[in-house]
Amino acid sequence: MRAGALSPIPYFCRMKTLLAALALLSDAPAEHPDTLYSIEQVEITASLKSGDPSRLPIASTEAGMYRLEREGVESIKDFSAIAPNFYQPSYGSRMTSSIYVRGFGSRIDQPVVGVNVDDVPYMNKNAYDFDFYDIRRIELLRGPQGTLYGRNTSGGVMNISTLSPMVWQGARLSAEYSSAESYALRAAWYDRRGDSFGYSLAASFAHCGGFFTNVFNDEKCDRSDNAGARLRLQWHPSLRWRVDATTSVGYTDEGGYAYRLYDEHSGTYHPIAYNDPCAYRRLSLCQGLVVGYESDKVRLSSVTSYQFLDDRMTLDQDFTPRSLFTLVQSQREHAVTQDIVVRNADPEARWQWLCGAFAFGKRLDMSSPVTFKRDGIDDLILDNANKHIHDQFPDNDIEIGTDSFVIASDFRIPVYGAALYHESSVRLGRWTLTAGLRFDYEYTSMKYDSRSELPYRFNLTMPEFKMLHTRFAGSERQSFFELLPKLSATYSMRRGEVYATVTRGYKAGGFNTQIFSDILQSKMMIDMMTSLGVYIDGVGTTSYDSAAATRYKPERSWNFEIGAHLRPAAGLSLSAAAFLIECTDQQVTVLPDGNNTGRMMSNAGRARSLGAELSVRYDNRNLSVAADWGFTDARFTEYDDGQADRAGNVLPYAPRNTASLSASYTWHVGASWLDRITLGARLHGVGEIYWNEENTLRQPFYTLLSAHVGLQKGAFSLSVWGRNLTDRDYDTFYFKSVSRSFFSKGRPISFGIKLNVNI
Amino acid sequence: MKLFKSLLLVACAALSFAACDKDDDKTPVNPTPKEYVGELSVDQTDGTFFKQQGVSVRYDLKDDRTVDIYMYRVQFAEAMPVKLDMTIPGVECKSVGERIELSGERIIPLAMGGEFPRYTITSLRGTLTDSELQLSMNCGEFPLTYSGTASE
Repeated sequence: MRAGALSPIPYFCRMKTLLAALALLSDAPAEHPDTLYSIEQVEITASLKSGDPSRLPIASTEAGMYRLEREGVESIKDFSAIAPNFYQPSYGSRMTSSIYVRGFGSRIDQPVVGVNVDDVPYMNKNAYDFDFYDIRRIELLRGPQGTLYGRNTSGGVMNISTLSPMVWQGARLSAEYSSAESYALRAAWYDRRGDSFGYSLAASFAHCGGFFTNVFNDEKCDRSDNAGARLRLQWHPSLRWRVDATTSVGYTDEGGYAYRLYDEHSGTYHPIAYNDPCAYRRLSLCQGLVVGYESDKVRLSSVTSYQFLDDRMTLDQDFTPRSLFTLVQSQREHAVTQDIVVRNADPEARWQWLCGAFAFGKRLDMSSPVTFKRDGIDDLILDNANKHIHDQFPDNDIEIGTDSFVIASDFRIPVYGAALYHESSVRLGRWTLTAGLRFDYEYTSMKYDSRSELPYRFNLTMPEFKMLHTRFAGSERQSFFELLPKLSATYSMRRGEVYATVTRGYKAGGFNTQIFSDILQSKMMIDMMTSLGVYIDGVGTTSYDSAAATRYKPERSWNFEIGAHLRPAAGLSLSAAAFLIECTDQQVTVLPDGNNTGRMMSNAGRARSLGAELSVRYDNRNLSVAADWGFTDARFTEYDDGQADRAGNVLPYAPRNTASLSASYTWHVGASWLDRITLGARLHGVGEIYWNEENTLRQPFYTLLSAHVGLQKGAFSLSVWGRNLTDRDYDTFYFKSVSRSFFSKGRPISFGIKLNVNI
Repeated sequence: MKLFKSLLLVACAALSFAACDKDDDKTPVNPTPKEYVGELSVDQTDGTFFKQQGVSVRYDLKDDRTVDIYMYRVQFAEAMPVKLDMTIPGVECKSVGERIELSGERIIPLAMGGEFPRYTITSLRGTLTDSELQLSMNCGEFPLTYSGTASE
C-alpha cells in the first residue's frame, strides 16, 4: 500500500489535524497495523454541512472502514446492528426495505431518513438498499435534520463517504463464499497522479442462491444477483479549488418476498407457497459533482447531481397458490439536485455560520398494472357482486367472460422543490448556542390514468357478453411550504459535551398511487351495476373518498432532546440521549376495509415517541468493545382507523428496543506466516415489534449472535464469519392482503469465508 | 308570472299530447320527455302493500305511437335485496282530451341488461297528464300501482 498524501486544501488540513486529534482523544488506539484502520486514519472528513457529529448537539453513530468491515456491515440494513434506535429490516426486496428511527418510519412512499453518498442526497428511497463496497465512513445523525437537509429527514440523516483515491492508492480485491450458495467478488483500483489528480474504479458482484423455498415450485424464492460499479475522479487544481466527480451504477435482479401465510386463529404458519412469479429488478445511476472553493474567509461548496432509477417489481399479490391477482410496478425516475453551501472558513472562529440554497426536480413515470386472474375474478369480484344477486335470483349469476383482465394504471408525478437555509453557532465561553432555520417549498402534481375493460353479462337476461369500459383519469396537484427551525445549546467540558436541542422535522406529502386499483375496482362495480340497472346497498362503495384518497399531506414533528458526548478516558467514549418527539398529521399506511387490493397513506394520526439511547465504545491496540442500546416508547395519541380508537397503542413496525454488544480482540502474532489474529462476536437484539395498529400481533424481543475470526498476513487477510449462530426464528415483516395475514421470516444461520487483498 | 307559467304548461302539454294517437289528429309531434316522482305500491298478495317513495319514472314517445316507460330503482318487496331499473317498452297510448291513456298486455320488460320474462307486464292501465302519471299493472306476480307528479 502506498499511503496517500493529505489533501492540499487548507480546510482539510485543519480539519484533519483537529479531527485526528479528537479521534485520538476519543476512540482510536494509538497505533494499529490494520490496512483498513490506516485508511481511516489518513483523513477524517466531515460532511459539507456538519462537523464532527460526535461533538455536535446531535445523537449520532459513526463507523469507519475498519469497523464496518470488521462488523460485516455491507448495507444500510447491516448498519442497524450497530446503531441504536435505527432499524432497517428486510421486507422482502431491496425496494421495500423501510427504515425506522426512534419509533417512526414508513412502509411506503416518503422515508424518515435521508441518505447522502459523498454529499449527494439520494432522492428515491427505492435506491437506499444497496451493497456497500469501499465505504470509508458512515455517520448516522438521529433526530430531525430538516434545517440543513430538508425533506424526509425527520428521523435523521445517514452520510456515507466512499474511499477517496486522493487518500489511498492501490488495488483492493475480495472474494467471499457463504451459505445459500452465495458468493461476492469485489475489485477496485485507486490511483493518484501527482498532487492534484486521482481516480478510482471499483466494481462488485454478489450472488445469493436464496435461503427460503417456495414449496409451490420447490425453488428458492429469495435468490439475488447484484452488481455495481463506481468511478471517482478527484481534481485539486490549486490549494483553493477541488473538484470531485463520482458516477455509480447499480443493478439488482432478485426474487425475494419470502412471505408465508399465517393463520391468526390457530397461530400457525403455513409454508411459503405462491404460484405467480415474484421479482425485483433495479437499475440505478447516480452522478455527483462536488466543487469546492475556499478563500481566506469563506468556503463554498456546490453539489450537483443527476440520478436515474429504473425498477420493476413483479408480485403475486395474494401470495397463495391460487391465481387471484398479480402486480407489475415499473418506475422510471429522473432527478436533478443542486445544493450550494457557504460557510465561514475558520473552524476556530467564535461565530460559525452556514448558508445554503437547495433545489431539486424529479419526474417519476410509473406504471402499475394489476392483473386479475380467474380465482381473483371469482373471489374478489363475482362473489361480492353475486352475493346479493343470488338473494333475488338464486339460479342466475353475473358472469365475466374472460379468465383474466388488467386494471392498468399509469402515473406521471413531477416534484419540484427549493429551499434556503441558515445555521449559526456562537461560542460563549463553554457554551455554544446554535440556531437555524430553513424555508422549504415543494410543488408536486400527478397525472393519472387508470382504466380497464372486461366482458360481462347477467345470464338471466343477457345472451351475449357486453364489454364494460371503466376509466378514472385526471390530475391532482399540491404544494407545501415548511419552516424548519432548530435551536440548541451545548456546554463543553474538559472531556465532553452536554447539549439540549429542539428541532422540527418534516416528511413531504404525496400521492397514493397504490390505491388506484382499488378505486377502479369500485368504479367498475358501479359502472357494471349501473349498466345493468341494478343497485345494491354497499356494493361499489368505498370506505374512503376517492378524490381525497389520492393525496396525503406532509407529516410534521417536533423533537426535544438532551444528550451528552463524553470521553472520560483514552479510548473510551460514551454518548447518551433522551428524546421526546411529537408528531402531527402522521402518515399511516391504511388498508381499506374488506377484500380490497390497495393500500394508501393517510394523515390519520398524532403520535409521540419517548426514548433514550446509550452508546459506549472502548478501543485500545488489541481490544474493541462497543455497546449500544436504544429504547423507544412510541404511541398513537390520536388515531381512529375507522374500526376503533387506537390512541395509546404502540406504533407498529418499529422496535421498542435495539441493542448491540460487540467485542473483538486482536493478537499480534508477528510470525513469518501470520501477522495477527482477530476474534470478534456480536449480540444484536431487536424488539418487541407490534405488527398492527390494534397491537394484537407482535414479535417479542430476540437476539442474534454473530462471530468472526480473521487472519492477516501482509496484504492478505482471511476471515470466517457466522451469523444468527443460534438459528433464531424471527419475523421481520407482517402485512395483510385480501384479509389474509402474512409474515416474512428472518434469515437462518449462515456462514461465510472471505479473502481480502489490499496491495 | 303565474299566468305565464300556466300558459307555458299548457303549451308543453299540447306538444306532448300531440304525438299520441289522437282521436282527431294523427300527426305525431315529439314531446319533451318528462320525469315524474311518486309512490310505487306493490300488493304483496298477503293483504299487505309495500310502498316505495320517491320512485322516478320517465317516458319516451316512439314513432310507432307507443311509449317506453322507464322506472328507476324500483323495489317490489321489502326483502328484495336489489333495486332495479326497469323499462316497459311498447305501451300503447291514446290521447283523450288533455290526457294520454296508456294500456298494455303481456309486455316483457327490460331489466338487468335484457328481457325479463319473470316480470311480464299484464293489465297495464294508466293516464298521463302534464302534471301527473297514474299506472296500474301486474308485474309478474305483483299487482302494483304508481302515482307520480311531474318533477320540476
